[in-house]
Amino acid sequence: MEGRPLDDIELITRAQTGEVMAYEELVRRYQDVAVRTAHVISPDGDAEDAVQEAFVKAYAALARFRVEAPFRPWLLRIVANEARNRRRSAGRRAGLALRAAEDRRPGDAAPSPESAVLAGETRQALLAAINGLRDEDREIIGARYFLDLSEAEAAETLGLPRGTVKSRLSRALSRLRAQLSASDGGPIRG
Amino acid sequence: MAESRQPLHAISDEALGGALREMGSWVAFPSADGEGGRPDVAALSRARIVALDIRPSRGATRRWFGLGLRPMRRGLVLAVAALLVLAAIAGAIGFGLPGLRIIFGDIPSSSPVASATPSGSGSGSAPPSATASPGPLGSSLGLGVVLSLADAEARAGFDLILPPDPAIGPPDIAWVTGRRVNLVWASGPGLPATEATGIGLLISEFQGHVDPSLYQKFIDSGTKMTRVTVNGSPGYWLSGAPHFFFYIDPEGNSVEDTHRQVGDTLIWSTGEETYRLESTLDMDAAIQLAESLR
Repeated sequence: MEGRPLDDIELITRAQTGEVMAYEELVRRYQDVAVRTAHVISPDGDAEDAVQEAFVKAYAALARFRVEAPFRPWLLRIVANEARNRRRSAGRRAGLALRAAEDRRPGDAAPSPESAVLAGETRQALLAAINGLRDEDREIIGARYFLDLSEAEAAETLGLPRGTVKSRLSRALSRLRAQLSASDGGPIRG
Repeated sequence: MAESRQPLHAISDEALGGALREMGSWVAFPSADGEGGRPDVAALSRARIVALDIRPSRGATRRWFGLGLRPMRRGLVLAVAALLVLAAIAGAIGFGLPGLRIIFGDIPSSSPVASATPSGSGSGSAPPSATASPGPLGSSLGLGVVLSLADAEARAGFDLILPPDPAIGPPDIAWVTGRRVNLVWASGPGLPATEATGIGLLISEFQGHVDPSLYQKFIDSGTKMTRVTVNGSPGYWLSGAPHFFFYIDPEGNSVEDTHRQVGDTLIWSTGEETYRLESTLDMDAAIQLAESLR
């Protein structure tokens, strides 16, 4: 309160006593990754609404959070569960989508050097392949590559044993290759 | 670079990971920020917490399980949550949480919301007072466009409810903004004109779940919120100091209803639909009228 930003632990401690403004400040730090997490898990759901609900539930459960534990994956796990609960089990699903090139928002980082490599049609092919995967495969790929979560964070967020993240990711990538291979149509097949 | 010419399925794990990372930066993710002056996810979450009167607790987890499962309350919760948010935007907040007595500070005259009036919203440059209004009843109140009652009902998408009391009769005029219907009665013997609007009765009806932030109200200092029930449905009685009235249209624009002050207001939700009733009636009479609507 003396002009420096409070760290997570201070905010959590205050929020645990019912200081709701401290909680708002705390979750504001994670709302972007939370909305992205919800969207990866339930691409056709209302991610923003799921996150709001998850943040309310996390607040109610906050007294049981151990202050010394990492907050972000704890919060993201609640978000992920909320998003899963809202996932439609049947019916047509649109899946993840790409934004148009001109939609790059001002705050976004400049395109990385690799972006020159990935042509638009390649991105579309990758996306289509990801949308063709099972939920679990899309989740682990999304957690590691789209959300940039560490293995430990991905494990906690997705509710997986920590030791299995690597192998699950590896299997998901294999199935992704299979999807890509099936749709490539190029000279090299399977 | 040579690798990029290979089919995607044949590149190395590392290269595939790089491609996925890059593709991830192109995924159309929804934004957590409140765009155009709208509250962000953190602010909306806090408003829900306040509206539901939730506190961190070690044992009792029951109450928040109900949040997602009971649509009956949900519509109202979202409406009330949205209602609290604008005060947060403008800053100057003091919460007396228990029992949801909420006291907000003064309204900054140039709040971000007040300045975010979109074009074509119909609120335009109408005067803040209804007294000198030319045009049909309520035309200075920024209530939308005039439609017949039948057309208004069609726009709302559900059956409107009206006072059966012949002394009140049908509304004198129906306004519609977005899918929110605003029914206006001129003042009369049983319905004295409100100080703020100069009309007798204003009943707004809309589907609360269409957009959680469709309905927003800016509460001035001294406004009191009292929990009530209307035919068993949860509601709030907003009384005391006059408060200002805003809402967010379906396109997400903040629409300022000519910055008018409104008087005592009853808001309640049946789950599907949310209603607000503004008049000079006291709380009991307002609830009685609300419960009589058919």
